[in-house]
Amino acid sequence: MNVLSTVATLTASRTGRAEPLTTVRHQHLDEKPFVLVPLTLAGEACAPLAALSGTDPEHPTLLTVRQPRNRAERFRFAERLAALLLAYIDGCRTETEPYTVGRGKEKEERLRCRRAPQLLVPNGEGISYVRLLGRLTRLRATEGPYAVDQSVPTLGKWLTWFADLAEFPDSGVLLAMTRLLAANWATGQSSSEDSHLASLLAWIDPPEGSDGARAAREAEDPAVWPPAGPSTDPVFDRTLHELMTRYDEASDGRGREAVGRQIDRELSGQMLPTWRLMWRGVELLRELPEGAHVPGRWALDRRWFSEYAEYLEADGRPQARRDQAVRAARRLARLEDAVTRYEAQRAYDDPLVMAEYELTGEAFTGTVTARDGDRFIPGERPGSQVWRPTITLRTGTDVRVDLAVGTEVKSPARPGQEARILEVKREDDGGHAVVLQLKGGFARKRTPPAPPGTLAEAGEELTYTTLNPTAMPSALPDEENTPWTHGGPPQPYEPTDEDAEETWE
Amino acid sequence: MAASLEELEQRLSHLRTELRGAVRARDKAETARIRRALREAEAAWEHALETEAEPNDEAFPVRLPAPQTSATTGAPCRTERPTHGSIPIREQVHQALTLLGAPAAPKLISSAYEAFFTESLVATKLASLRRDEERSFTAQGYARPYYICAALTHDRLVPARGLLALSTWPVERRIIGPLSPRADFLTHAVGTAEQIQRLTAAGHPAPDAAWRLLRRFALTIPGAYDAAAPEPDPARVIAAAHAEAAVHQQEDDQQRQAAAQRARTQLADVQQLFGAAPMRDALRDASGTLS
Amino acid sequence: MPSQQSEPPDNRLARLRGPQPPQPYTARKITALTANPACARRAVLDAAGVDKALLAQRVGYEPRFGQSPFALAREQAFHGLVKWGSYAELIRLLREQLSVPVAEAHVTDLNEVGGNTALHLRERETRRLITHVASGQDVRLILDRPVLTLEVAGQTAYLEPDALTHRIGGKFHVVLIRSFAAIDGQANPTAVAEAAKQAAVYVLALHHAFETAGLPTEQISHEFLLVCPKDFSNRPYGRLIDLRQELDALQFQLSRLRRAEDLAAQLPETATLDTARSADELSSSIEALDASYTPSCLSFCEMARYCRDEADGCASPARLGSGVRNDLPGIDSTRTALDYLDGVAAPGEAEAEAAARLRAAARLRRLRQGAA
Repeated sequence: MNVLSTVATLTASRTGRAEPLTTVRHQHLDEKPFVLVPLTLAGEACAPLAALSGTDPEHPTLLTVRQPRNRAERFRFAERLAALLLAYIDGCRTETEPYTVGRGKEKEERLRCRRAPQLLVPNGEGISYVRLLGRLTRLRATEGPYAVDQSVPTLGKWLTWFADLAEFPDSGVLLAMTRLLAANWATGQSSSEDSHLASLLAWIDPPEGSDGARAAREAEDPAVWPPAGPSTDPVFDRTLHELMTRYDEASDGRGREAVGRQIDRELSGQMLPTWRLMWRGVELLRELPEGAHVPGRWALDRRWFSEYAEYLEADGRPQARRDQAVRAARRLARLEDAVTRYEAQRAYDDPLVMAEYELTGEAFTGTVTARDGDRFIPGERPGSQVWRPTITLRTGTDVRVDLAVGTEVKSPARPGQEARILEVKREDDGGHAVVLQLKGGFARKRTPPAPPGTLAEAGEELTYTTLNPTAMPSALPDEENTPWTHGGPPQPYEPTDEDAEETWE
Repeated sequence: MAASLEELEQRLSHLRTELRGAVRARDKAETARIRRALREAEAAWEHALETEAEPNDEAFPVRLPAPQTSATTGAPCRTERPTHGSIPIREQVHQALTLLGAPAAPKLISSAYEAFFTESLVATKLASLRRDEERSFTAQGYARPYYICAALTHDRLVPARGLLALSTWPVERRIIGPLSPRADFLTHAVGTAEQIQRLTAAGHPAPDAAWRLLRRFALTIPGAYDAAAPEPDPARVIAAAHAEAAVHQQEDDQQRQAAAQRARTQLADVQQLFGAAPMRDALRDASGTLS
Repeated sequence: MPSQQSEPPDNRLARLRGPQPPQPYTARKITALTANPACARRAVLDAAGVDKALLAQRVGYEPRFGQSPFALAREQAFHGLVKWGSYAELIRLLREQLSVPVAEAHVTDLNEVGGNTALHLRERETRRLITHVASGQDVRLILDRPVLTLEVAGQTAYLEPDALTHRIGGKFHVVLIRSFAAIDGQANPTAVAEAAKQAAVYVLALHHAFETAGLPTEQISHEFLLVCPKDFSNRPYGRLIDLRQELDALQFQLSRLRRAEDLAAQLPETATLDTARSADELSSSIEALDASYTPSCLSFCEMARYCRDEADGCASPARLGSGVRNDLPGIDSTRTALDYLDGVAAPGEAEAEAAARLRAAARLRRLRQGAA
């Protein structure tokens, strides 16, 4: 929470409509995302109850489990979900493109898929569901007394892959709609209230003639909008409990199937409103332009996808149950790097995000009032001279410039150009005059004149910041190693005694 | 004019939504009214189900995946058991307790019975059994060959909560001291295992439910279960149960004997079977039954 | 039979509640008491034993909590599983995970005493048995459903932990059986935290029992045993969890509850919290008690939506979350904050800095929003 979002929240609370927090969208939104609205049975670790899923808003596929406490039924559900999701995943692998990795002598050309799967779930609990379902299914045996269909552990490995990447903010393969929307809009309610999808959308997209605040409160009523799940509404569970008891006790196949249809209808009714909300969210997000770094990040996701798909074909052992200490530490370091990089990229792509850093003093904006394109200073080798132009930026009266002389900064306008603060002078009107020494970004020229566009003109408004999207803060080995650097090298399959577990009463 | 099955199902769904609304509003009168309407609609639906030909599957705007046989049939129905047997409940309990060999709770009695016999024995039906048996004994004395009676707590000789026993067992066998629940549990394990052995020896393989029951015992007795084996080994269970029982035996037997002696000297026949009177509120009972 | 709670005579809190019997104090209720200690409204309502769900409904805000029949069934089934076969699974767990020797298998069922289920009898028997065991005269592995008491806000609460065990390291441990799963050794942290808070209540009650009996309290462990399903199976799995932090927090919060009586004394004579009275009377009484609403109230307090509307009405910054509230130090209304933003009102000295930050942020938002 920063002051900018506080101001946005305050404004929203007055107008009754959500306020934008961004000018662009910082996540990739695929042409063909796979939307998943799952429901689970209350009280259990991961007892799938039902799901609506698919890539076509007009044609969701309904999956239901009429006997969710029955463990064989859970794995049959997984099989059915696998059929849908694995087909979608395979569909992403049809076209490939070349790309290069490494530099100089270590340069390598590889292939990655032109598409990658994108799984959209309603909320953070939906992401936990994906992780849990992955855990439930990826270690199952396909032979022996408790055998499951082959597609089940495959589904589990993929779900775990999605969930592992979801922890990285720069990855877009598994996203929660509430988080996506809340990243772009501030409502006039608290963030915990925002985790309710129907309420959140009521602020962002209020119905005709109503204000967002009122619509959001109405949307909290489970009688009006069934919960987005995976948890069901406890009062609805009473209906479900009754129907399922009838189903279990039905005396003939036809009677059972008829009750089963009713169960399906009730479950569908609980999920369809959320399904529609999901696609409305997709629509609203598509209306936002994409940030400049987004395709690059998605290209990385496509690379991880391609590599994992290949790994599954070649070796295919499932992810271990838990990260060992070393692997966990590396993963944490990678995560911290990713967060830093992602935040810097967001700021570079979006002036409204950069504004946060302007307030904290990590960035400042000013107008160019002077430039020296012919400046030389002594180089490292004795007697040599290097070309280092300068520009002078004049800031407004209230602008914070907390950065010390000698600080390295960059501008989103010219991300390839390094700059260093030479001088900061407080002016009479309260503003600052900042002299910046520039290095590089002159199309490889080492002497004046600077090619057009590479040296800022007088009157240009520029923002400089200490944020740097290309920095690699931690000293980790390159991502050239397997994407398991997000985790670690695969562990051999541990035979699990779960396979021997039986249902207790 | 009979409504179609589809229309009736829509009405049912609508009524259920209304019912939930009334429940949320805690409106008891409304809840009752809607429930009545729901029951009527359900009856109409069941009637229509019997008379209609084929149901319409394309009812709602979602696509069902290509049906797989496993998806539509689901898990099997609960296996049908004849509910009105020719065997009276007390005899069923008698057989189960004989098999188990020590005082047991209704749930275990029911599980053990249904593990080995085809008729059902619902645990809830045993709730009033002890009381009925006590009445019968009070009226008829030892007229019947056995009674389903109580187990007695070692300290106050009152009926132990939730346990049934056989009158043909000596008092010692029906005393519950601190180690007795565990000792009796081990006896139950042995009884179950021996019954399976008996059946196997006689050429009648024991039902799956019996093996499942044995497995529950085996998993909680040290050394009784070999994790690698697909099924528990009755002989191994018996050996392990005996081994642990030996550890507790001396102390447990001492307490049982002391309590049994007191029971014989202090309690009337009916109390020896069904326990001393429950403790009254000690704040008002000056003489008190606290030991 | 005496009522479950014993209260001092001529108690303002009891009079406010009226003829309705008081809500019993369970461990869960006691942990909720300490959840929002700043809230006078909740402190008085809970101390008075008012049925908050009914009260909320009476003033037009019926609560939306409820327990799913599936969750309930699962809880009961898991409890039943742990206790099946005379605690067979619990004993196994104690032996396998906590190295309890096989010879230790003594149990006592405290669900009833000599056939009588009265709470005070069970409580006395529990204390008697604990004394025997603590003094070495007797040995017990498991005490099933013991009854302990705790003085809370001037009332005696009867508490029933799932079990006590005495053979782990020679100390008494509270045992809680919960049906949320521990997957790969990790359970939902919120659920574990809630269980730990409840366990702390039981441990305090155990201390109370020891002190009443004149026993040294070193025998009470500061850890409790959490029993929950392992992974996706139903097999019970146990874990000892440290409670020292929760115990400190709980003791501190309980000591501050005495103020509920003081707060109640300040209400006008006409005030009432009797749920049978009119909605108007109830509303005006509730309004006379200061609430301390934050969005987290919605997850545990039945009156939360009432208080939320009230917070909306007076534009309380806390209603928008701690992030917003922290950015508005010294500013007690979001309307005032907006006035500062608009330049319509001038902030005082204390709020000047915050107001300046807000205005700077608002200016930047205006400037940067159009750019692309």
